[in-house]
Amino acid sequence: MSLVSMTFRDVTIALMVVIAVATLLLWNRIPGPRAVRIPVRVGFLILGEALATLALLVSLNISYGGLVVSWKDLIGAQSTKGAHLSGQVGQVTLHPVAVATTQRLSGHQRFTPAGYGGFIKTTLTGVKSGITSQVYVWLPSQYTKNPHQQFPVLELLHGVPDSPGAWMGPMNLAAHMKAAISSGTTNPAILVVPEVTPIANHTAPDDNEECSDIPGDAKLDTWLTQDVRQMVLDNFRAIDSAAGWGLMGYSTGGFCAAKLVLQHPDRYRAAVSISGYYTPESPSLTQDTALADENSPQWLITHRRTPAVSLLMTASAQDPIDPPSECQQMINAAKSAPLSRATEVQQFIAPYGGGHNQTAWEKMLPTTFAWLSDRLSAPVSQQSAQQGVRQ
Amino acid sequence: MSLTGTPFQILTIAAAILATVGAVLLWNRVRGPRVVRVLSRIGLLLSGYAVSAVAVLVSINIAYGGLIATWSDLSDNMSAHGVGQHGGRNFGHWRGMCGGKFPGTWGGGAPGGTGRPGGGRPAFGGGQPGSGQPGNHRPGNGGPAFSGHRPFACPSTSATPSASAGGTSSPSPHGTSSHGTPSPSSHG
Repeated sequence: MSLVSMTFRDVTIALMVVIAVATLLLWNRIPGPRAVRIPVRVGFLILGEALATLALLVSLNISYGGLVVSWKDLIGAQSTKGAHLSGQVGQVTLHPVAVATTQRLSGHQRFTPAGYGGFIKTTLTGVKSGITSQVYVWLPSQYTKNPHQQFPVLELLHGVPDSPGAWMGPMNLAAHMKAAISSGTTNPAILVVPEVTPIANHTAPDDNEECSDIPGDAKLDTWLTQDVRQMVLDNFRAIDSAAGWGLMGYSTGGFCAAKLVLQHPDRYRAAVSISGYYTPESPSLTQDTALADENSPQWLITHRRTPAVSLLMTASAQDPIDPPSECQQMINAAKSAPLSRATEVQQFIAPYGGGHNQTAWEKMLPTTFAWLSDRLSAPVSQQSAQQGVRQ
Repeated sequence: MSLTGTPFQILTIAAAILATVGAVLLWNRVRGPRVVRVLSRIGLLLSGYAVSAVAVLVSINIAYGGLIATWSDLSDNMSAHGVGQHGGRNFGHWRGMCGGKFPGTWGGGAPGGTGRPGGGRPAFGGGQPGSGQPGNHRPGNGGPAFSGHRPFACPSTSATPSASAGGTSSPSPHGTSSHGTPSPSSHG
């Protein structure tokens, strides 16, 4: 029986009702001594509570469009088996990294342990956006071992509704990065996890800014691509140029990563959208067609001259919320639009990639880390950085 | 008290235990006419169900790193696109694509095993990072690899995705694009 079928939902509800009625009818009809009757009553109660919880979870899962789509998905058996890259190659070249002397704008931030292994956090008030929220940072061990190197940075964007904790907790971001570094597939990089929905009451799918500057409202684009970025440059030995900066997000964060790399090639060289989508969905954007267009990866790739940046879109064949067809539409658009020839647009579709959940997305991390690392600068020594030579 | 803090988690679990114990102790002590007694017992039962479900939801929310991170987020997400509205009106935009059927390509015989012990671990449960060796999927360096790509296909429907439509720039006919059509989405 499918985890996301109405039948399964109805069966769980029916069982709950049966147990509830049985509890009411049989409570004082249980035979045996007191030592037997009490445990049986408790058993009835707990069984009913378990079924009620199950029915609620199954209903929620279905009503959200199928976050966990199967039993395999539930036990974490998703994989990238059988998936491969395809798409448009673009004209991306890794230019020599020229690092200007960093001009400190936001000043030194105070960092405290974040409670997630290795991450530290700070409360940042963005100079340009005026937004105050949390930013989490992880430094690879190479950062302290090589004090004269500057490092590439990955900025990681969570979904909506969600929080930075998802990257650090259930998705085990740092553990995967460490494993990728030690296996040699990925250069050491600084991980930065900002809050994507820092504005109160703008944290739901249908009222958040989708990482955009909304006139008369919040400037989420500015927060993510200027304030957070500058804070990292001011406080860590991070590569200043776009060649050292990558974006990665899942779901709404994937939409954001795709959009921001197309909008800001001066700040980011590459982006990964894990199970993202490519046209805005929040009414904050969609109620203004022009605003929606300028913040739509699909529209930009079709109508604008898009820059020599790299975009990877991953999707799972089982994901009912953001299916692989959305990636294919982007690739089709890139291939048919003469103005987007310079842009690398690729997809990585996992036939057994699971549903729309963090366990499924976690399976993508080794692939996406390696893909980003191939397109971003390696750590550079500060001396050669000043000479504008890539190490 | 934080929605994602340990104190609140403990409180909800304690409440669930208390509701269960309370039902056992109070079941035969409720007074009044038969109707009142039955209604009271139903109340005991349902409050136990509700409190237990809340405890599990809170724990899952915490285990997933804070899907709903603050009380304000909770009220925002409840009011902006309440679950009922989701269930009634919006089902994720694949509904238009697949006629309401989930793309169930993970059928019984699917070779979906990870082949990587330690890799397959549910997110919630908080075990150690399941990164036995997550690094052997290095893609090629940007080379085009088109062979055998299977575009997403709806199971057994006539609605073919536009994957082969050769570069449609307009919003897809399947409702994945919704300019000017404010509709609640189910994105995470």
